[in-house]
Amino acid sequence: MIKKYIFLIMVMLICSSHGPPNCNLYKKNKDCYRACKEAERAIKFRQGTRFSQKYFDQSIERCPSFAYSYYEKAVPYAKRGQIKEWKILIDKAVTIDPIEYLPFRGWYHFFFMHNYESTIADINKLDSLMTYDIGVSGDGLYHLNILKALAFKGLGKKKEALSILQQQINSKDHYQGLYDYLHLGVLYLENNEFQAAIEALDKQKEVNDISELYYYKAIAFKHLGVQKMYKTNLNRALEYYKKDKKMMNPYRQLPDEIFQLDIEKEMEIVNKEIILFIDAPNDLSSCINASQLNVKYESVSKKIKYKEDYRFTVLPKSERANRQIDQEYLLCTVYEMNQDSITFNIELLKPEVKQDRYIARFGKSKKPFSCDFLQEMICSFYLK
Amino acid sequence: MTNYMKYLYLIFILLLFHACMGITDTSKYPRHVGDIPFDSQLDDVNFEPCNEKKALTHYRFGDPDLYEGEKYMIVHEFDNLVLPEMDSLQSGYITIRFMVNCNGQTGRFRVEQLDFDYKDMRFNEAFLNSILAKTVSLNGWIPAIRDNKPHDYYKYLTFKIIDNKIVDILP
Repeated sequence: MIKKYIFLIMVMLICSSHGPPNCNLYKKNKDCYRACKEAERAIKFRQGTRFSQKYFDQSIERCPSFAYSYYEKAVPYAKRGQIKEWKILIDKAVTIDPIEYLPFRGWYHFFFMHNYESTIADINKLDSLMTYDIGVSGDGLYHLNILKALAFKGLGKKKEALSILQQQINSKDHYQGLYDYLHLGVLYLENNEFQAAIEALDKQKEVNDISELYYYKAIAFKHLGVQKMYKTNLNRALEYYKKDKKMMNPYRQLPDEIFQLDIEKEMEIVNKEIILFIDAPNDLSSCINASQLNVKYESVSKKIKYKEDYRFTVLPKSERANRQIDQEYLLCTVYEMNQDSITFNIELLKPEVKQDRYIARFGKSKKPFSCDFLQEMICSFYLK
Repeated sequence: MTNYMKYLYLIFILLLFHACMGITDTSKYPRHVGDIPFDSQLDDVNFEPCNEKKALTHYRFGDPDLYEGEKYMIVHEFDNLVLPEMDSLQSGYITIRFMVNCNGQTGRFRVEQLDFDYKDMRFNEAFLNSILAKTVSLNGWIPAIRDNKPHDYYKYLTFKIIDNKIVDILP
């Protein structure tokens, strides 16, 4: 129901953005009234066609202050990769009527060019001109504060992004966009707040049930070490994707939009894991509780893309006999240890994978991690 | 009945004429914004559109990426591109527009180089050529079908460059 409501609002917004203003408003100014009528003629032709552009020219000629015709004439240039031409025209529309056209210019800076600085500048400029809510992006997809948050994220300022997003979503009378909770969930995920990410993504389901939310939920569960939910959500992401229940914009990629190959590559990873067979003299239970055996990990260098390509599991050496090992022993050297984590250097035999360091963080433990005899571990690379 | 049809036809023609009245100079604009006409100085004569007059833009089809493996694969193609070393750092946009014919072949490449204010700039020639050559070599374009008919279409890629690195491929 909510989804239908939002969809209807969006359709109204999108449609209204394509029509010229009510020409009767210009009746006192003969030239501008006729300019408006020329614009009405222009939009009877398909956007970007020769006749459409010509009628907009005539409209502008009759009334150079008729902002709508600059804006509408600019749009096909942006959609077809001619942003320089778009900019010249949209700047004129913004100069004449900044409150009406800054939301469009800001959105196009973001969507077509990932020009985050210009997006933020346009939204801030609009904010300075208004005494009430700044409203939504040009195509009605986002409240402008959500767009601003996404622009901060694009600049790598994720804390600012999260703060703006949270504040806007929790504000009274928030304009609910189709993907607000998805973006919130992804920001939590990137901030390593996995439980919060899952909660936000569950809210996204209520608004717009799409493949992306299951994909990102899967990633959150992967980090939490909940293997079953990791797999279940990936499967659902793929199922939804194949049914076209996903983010979509014909003019191309939206923020946090994924592709089928993103899901399929992750599905390959599900079945890849590195098992650390700890060469402990005794049963592991002497120092690690069984519930601690699923570990989270992160690449210390953060530079290497494969860092998420494997899962890590810690098992006692005695388990090795029960496992099929594809590649043989690799030396892991313990770099640092404390009560809830071990940091170790690992070298894999795959040619593209060079030496890196990982931190294995153990879950909440009843017993503190205390394998102080582990100064060296024997690891095996294990592919399921 | 035949006369009646003739009158209808005449009225239709008059209405059409009326709709176009006032438009005298149409040469300023191409058929559609973004059309790329053949230029004998620039274009490969071996690249043949199937029906250029009906060419459309990429977003007029159900699958706007129109590439095997979607945009994921377009981006992946550039992952391993080794760009030439340069003495100075450059930033801005490189946009490459081109046509894909109904057989999935590409041609009529046009390049635009802009700074972050969308004003003309020039990237190092070797750097630009490296990105252009890779774009020309992409061979996963999917022939577009609309109303059960194959269509030529126009596509573009914009590369956002910061300090000599491709940080985004748009749109």
